[in-house]
Amino acid sequence: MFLSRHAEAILKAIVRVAENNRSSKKTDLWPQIRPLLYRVERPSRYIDSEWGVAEAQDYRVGLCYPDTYEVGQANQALALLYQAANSLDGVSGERIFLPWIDLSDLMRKEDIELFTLESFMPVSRVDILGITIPYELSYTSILEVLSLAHIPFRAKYRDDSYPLVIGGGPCVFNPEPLADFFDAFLIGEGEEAWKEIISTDKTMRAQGKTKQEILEKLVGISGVYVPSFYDVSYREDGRISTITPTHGAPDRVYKRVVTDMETVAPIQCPIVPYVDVVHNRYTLEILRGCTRGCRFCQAGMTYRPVRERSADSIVKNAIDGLRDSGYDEISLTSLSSADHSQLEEVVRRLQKQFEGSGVSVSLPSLRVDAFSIDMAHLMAQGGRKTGLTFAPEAGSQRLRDVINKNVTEEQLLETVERAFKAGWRRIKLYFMIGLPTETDEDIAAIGELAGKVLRTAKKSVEPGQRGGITVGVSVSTLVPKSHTPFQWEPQATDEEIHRKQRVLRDFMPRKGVNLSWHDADISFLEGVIARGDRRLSPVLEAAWRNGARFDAWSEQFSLKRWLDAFEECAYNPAFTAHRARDYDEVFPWAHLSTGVSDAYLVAEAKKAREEVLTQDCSFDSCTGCGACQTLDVDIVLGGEKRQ
Amino acid sequence: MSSDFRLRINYRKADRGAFLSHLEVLHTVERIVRRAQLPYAITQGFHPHMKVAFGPALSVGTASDGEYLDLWLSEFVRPDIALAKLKASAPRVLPIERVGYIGNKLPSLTAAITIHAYRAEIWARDIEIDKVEQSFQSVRKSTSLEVVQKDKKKVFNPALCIPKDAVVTKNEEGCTIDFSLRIDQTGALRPEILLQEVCNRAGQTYSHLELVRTGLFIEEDGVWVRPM
Repeated sequence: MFLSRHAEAILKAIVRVAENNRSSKKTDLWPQIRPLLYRVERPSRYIDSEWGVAEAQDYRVGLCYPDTYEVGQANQALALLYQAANSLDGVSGERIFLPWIDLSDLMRKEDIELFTLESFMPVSRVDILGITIPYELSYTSILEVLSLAHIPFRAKYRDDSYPLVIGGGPCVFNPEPLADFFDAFLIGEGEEAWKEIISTDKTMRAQGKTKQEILEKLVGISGVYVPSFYDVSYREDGRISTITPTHGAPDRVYKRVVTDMETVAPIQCPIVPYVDVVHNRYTLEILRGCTRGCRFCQAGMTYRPVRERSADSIVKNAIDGLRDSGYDEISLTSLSSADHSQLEEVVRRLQKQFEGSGVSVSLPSLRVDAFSIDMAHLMAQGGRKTGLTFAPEAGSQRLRDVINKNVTEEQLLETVERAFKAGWRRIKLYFMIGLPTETDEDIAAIGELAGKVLRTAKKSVEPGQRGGITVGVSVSTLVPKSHTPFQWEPQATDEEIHRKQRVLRDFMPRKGVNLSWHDADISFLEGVIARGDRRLSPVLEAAWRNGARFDAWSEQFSLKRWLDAFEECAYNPAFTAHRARDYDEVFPWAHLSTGVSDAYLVAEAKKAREEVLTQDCSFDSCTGCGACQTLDVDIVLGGEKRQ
Repeated sequence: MSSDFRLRINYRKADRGAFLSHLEVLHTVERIVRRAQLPYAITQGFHPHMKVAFGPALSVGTASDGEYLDLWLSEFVRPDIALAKLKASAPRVLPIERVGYIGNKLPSLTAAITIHAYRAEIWARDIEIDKVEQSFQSVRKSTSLEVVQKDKKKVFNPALCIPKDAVVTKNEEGCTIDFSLRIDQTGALRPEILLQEVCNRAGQTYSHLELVRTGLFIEEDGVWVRPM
């Protein structure tokens, strides 16, 4: 009781500070920011003025990525939504990133509000504010953004003078821990819906409509979810009892989906940063969706179905994008780029086009099969053979069948042999531990498989070159995610993960393999947030008050801040992370749908236990997930629809 | 390659561009050239890249009225056309001012340029400019100047590396100091370090200092000549 009163007092204080600052109507913060830039690291991330930035218009759309410029500026979705906003008459995008700690602290000391880049205006004064929700560990950074912007955390404390705060991105398929902080979420693909939201807000604001009236209108846009229009009740045992829509909101919000990739322009003239951002190249999304059906993979379920851009479209857009940006590298991106049905044609045409210009073409991910090695070989022609990366995910065939990873040991070893014979000397393998039904034998099999890969690699090269071979093994922990067949599974405890890591180390070859694993503390917290409900929001706020921000940066992460926050809020994180659910449990995200049916997810969960595989519907027959029928969308391969 | 055309480009690091690092300027210029669709030459070797050579680096936070780079083209492009294309492809904080072809046998910019001229704006309302001027002269006349740059002690000969007395002008916020430095193989005295030393010796303190490089010069028989 004391804690809740304390939290309330802090919130009211924030509201008062924000109101005072808003009334001062500061419009250009650059003169205040400029002197601070002589005192911070890499000041060029705060100067705007890059190639490709848009001129400010009357209606300003704030587009926030809650991390540093280097991470956020490289984000493709943000670039697409920036382009979508700027395509509307009288509308312009204003980028917002979280300043690094040195500048944030100086801004707090000098009482300077968070600024947008294009106009250096206070973030609280944009007309609408879109915030990407990229990762569970970015949630406290979102609160840090709101705090620096002097925007009250809770939507109910924000009056009509504040911009609507809309969330989007990978984590919105369970946005419930953030439900109190956002006015609305856009579930699914944003290019079309974002323009509809902006146009609605712009028109209704001009008509003097209230925030409530605008939200009531926005729920009519496919993919828009307004959390305050749903009442959630809980059972005595802590599980959710019911989720009830109000204000005319639909029983279930279905994700928005772009039916034809050719109708949405790729990033045409991207902003070209001065700073060396995380992916400093022109990126072109060549397909969306992946139906390989890995049972742990949230993206594989939430981005269905597969929709490819045609080879002609990719080649044209690649040429235009490189010319307009001046980049010397293009990356053909997607969840699984090697799956594009015309990839070989695309790469050959691009290499012919850019021959002799110093421009290189890259793919971000490869499959474990012979085609991928041929493709990698083609990509490396005339250039370096950088390391290859593959993800078998599990060490034993049994466990790969459980997770529906359609890869055999023979395929992997054959791929390794071909790769090392073709000149590669480094390979990295990704695995997971904590998978359902996993035994110590499965863990040991990871070490045995790494050993086989090492021996195969050595056998495939001349004896004099064997010393330079590196096999990297990176092991992460399964975090069961919403909307996947593993959403009912308990997450392994920290103690269990630490024990499994010891088993892993015992069975890993002593020489020639570089073993690394993810921090179990971070995976635990990710798991709590990934399947958390609305009762987690006070915890997020308490963790932020305890100093949590930039949690995704391992050197900034402190589990203690979170454990203290759980205790302060009397929240039992194990109930969310480590509890097995019944198939009929009402999940916090039960009112949100990716189009994939609940029955399909249950069937897949049962098939996992039976170690039965499910084929990829892009290449085989329909597997009955329901996405195409529910969302009225078709698989598109090579630019042609497949019924 | 001797068959390449060496185009010297004069550009500025203007306004907010002051906050760019040298590496960021390098990458940005390469992108400007690609956007301009000029027929740039490519180096031979394992990692082929654009054939371009820059003048002396400028530190983060320092603007410039006149920087130079040499770009080698594989085909001749009329200078007015090259200039128009480059201007249209440059962000506003790195405006391209002039271009002109120069001989392939001329020494590199870094080898040829020895004089760096600067203007410093110093924020210190109570500053006494006579003391600053006298302190500058005193530093310049000394035979040895020991400073700490990048955590290392370095010794310079002011008689050699400070070729002229500074011109100090009072203004509303503090003062403006125009001065120049000679850079040779023995090392480069950093302008902000020199000014800190000058002000320390004069017993003057300041809250903030901003630097602009106002010119780069080649010394020819005692005369300072611009690189183009």
